[in-house]
Amino acid sequence: METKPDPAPAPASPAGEKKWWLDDPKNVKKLLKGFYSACAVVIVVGVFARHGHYELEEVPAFYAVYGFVGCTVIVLAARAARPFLMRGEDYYDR
Amino acid sequence: MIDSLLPGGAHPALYPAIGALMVAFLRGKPRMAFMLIVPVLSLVNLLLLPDNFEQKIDFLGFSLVVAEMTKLSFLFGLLFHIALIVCVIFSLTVEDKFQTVPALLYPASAIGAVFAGDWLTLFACWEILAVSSVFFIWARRTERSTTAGQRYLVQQIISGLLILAGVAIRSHGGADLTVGWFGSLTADLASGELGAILILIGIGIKCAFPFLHTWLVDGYPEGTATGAVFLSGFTTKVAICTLVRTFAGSEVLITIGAVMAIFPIIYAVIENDLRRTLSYSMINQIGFMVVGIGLGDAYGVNGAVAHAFNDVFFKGLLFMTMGAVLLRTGKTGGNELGGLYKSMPQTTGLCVIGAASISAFPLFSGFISKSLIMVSAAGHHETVVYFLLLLASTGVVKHAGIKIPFFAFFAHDSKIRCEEAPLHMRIAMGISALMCVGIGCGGFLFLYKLLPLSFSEAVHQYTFAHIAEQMQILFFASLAFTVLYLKKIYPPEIPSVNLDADWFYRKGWGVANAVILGPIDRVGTYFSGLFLDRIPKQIAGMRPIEGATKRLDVNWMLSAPTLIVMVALLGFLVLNYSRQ
Repeated sequence: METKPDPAPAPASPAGEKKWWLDDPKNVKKLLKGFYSACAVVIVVGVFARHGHYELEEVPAFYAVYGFVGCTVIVLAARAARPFLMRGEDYYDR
Repeated sequence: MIDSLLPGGAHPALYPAIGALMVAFLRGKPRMAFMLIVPVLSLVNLLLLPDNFEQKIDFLGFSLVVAEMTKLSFLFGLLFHIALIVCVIFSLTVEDKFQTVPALLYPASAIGAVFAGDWLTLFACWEILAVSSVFFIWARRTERSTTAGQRYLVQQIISGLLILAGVAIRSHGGADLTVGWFGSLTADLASGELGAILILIGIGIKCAFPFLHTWLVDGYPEGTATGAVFLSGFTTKVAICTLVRTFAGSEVLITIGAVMAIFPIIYAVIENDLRRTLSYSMINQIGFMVVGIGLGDAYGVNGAVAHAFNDVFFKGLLFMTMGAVLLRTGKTGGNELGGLYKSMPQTTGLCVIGAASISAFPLFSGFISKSLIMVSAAGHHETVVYFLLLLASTGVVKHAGIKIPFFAFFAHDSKIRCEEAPLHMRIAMGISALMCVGIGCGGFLFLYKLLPLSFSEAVHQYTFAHIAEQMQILFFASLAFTVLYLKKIYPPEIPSVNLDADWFYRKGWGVANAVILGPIDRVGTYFSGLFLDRIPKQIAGMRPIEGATKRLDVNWMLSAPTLIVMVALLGFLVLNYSRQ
């Protein structure tokens, strides 16, 4: 079932093609680092926010946890549903 | 008479409707110019119409209100005109008459439907909307698009017929033909009136209620590269507008909407075809709107209408970028694409803007409309619904905000090298992107003034708390995707069919036939053979004649559907009498 994505973002572009910034794995790492730091900043800043609908919301980083867990649960649920839902491309043509 | 033809007095759908008839005779540059002038002229007409504009005609003894200006109809009319202009620019070079005629007729019927003051006019527009739109699917001219179009059309027509049946029942009970503009059937639905229920199901099909939604995810992805863009802009928005007019404040919509917001996400995660992913995403967005309409207060309904307005541009933009990709590469499968940012950098940027808008990133349009619905849900103490919608929001970030741009333009390099999207397509996408950013960065103040209900207090979207919580949701849902993708837990893109409710009529019929009708058939054959053949022969002292029962078989097979219809009608009669 599992098809492994390419092992590394190998810069195997057609010969002579312009090199793009993202082709370099180092730059992808830089981008990810930037993103992780932004996540940290968002958490720290979020501590000072007062929301006011529900008490639960006042828990520090509640929305961050909800976003992370929610998204993970959805993806895992979809993974789990796949064996039940997935059929061959020509399923309805047969 | 002449006044009703000139700008400032014409029916808002008149110019595109007449234009649709004329465009069939034009080709090349004159056709392009004509298709651009018609919607612009029609927009001028709309803007010049007086606030109390009304047009009535007498038809077969009915006094029909073919156009009625309300705040709601004006807003949707404006929306459809801008959407029409964008769609025409996007599909400017399409010379196929099966698409150019619907390109004007389909939006004309959508405009006609939102302005219709009575049920008969609405029904007529509703069905023209159905028939004219199917050509955007059929024009793809593949076996798959032909059959998907057939399924799409049947369901769209049934939607209209259910409404007509509901109206007939209500009119028999003494109701007049006025549609109303805000929750006119809410009370009747609450008391369980059959006519109102039928109308709700009819509108529900077009709104893609759960189990009635399959035409959308079946049909739209099979449309042409430009046709799917048209389709995404009008049909469901007409349904949302009609739902506000008829069932605003109906509690059942809160539940239906919450289910709509959640279940498509699962499909969107595992769906490989990126345009089908967008179609599931569309149901999820409509779910938010249906919840808002169900809540029925100023925040909920205005939020739903504003979100419908924004959805036309951000979802349209995403459909356009995928249309451009389909045009240039001939593919829409997530497994086949990737790395296209090298070939289509501008389209990539525009796609990211659409993705940011649908994810409700601050400064983009989704942020200022979705939150109205959230505020309404919290205000009504619908705690479960509030947190479900919040969950749905994280899902949107993942399946539309990240998946669409990531798998099409980044991810692993598919080595596909193609041209950038044609200029006219980039212009159309640019206008939509401008709408997304413009509305998010201040344009919303103008949009809020156009909304049908007035807020009791000033609405502040850009508060510190709101931005902080939204940023947390966005960044950490994205973080979850990043982690799951890097750890290879994220389900890979695999070309496949994912079973949905359409299984019941595309495959289930065969199963039902074998499990239910088969045995009935055999029992029927046995008894008909017994009474009509063996017993009489026995009495007469003869041997059974070969083939006699076989012939009866055929009769029984023919009568099985009749029997089902009879039982349905009987049920209907009993139901009707039990209410009196």
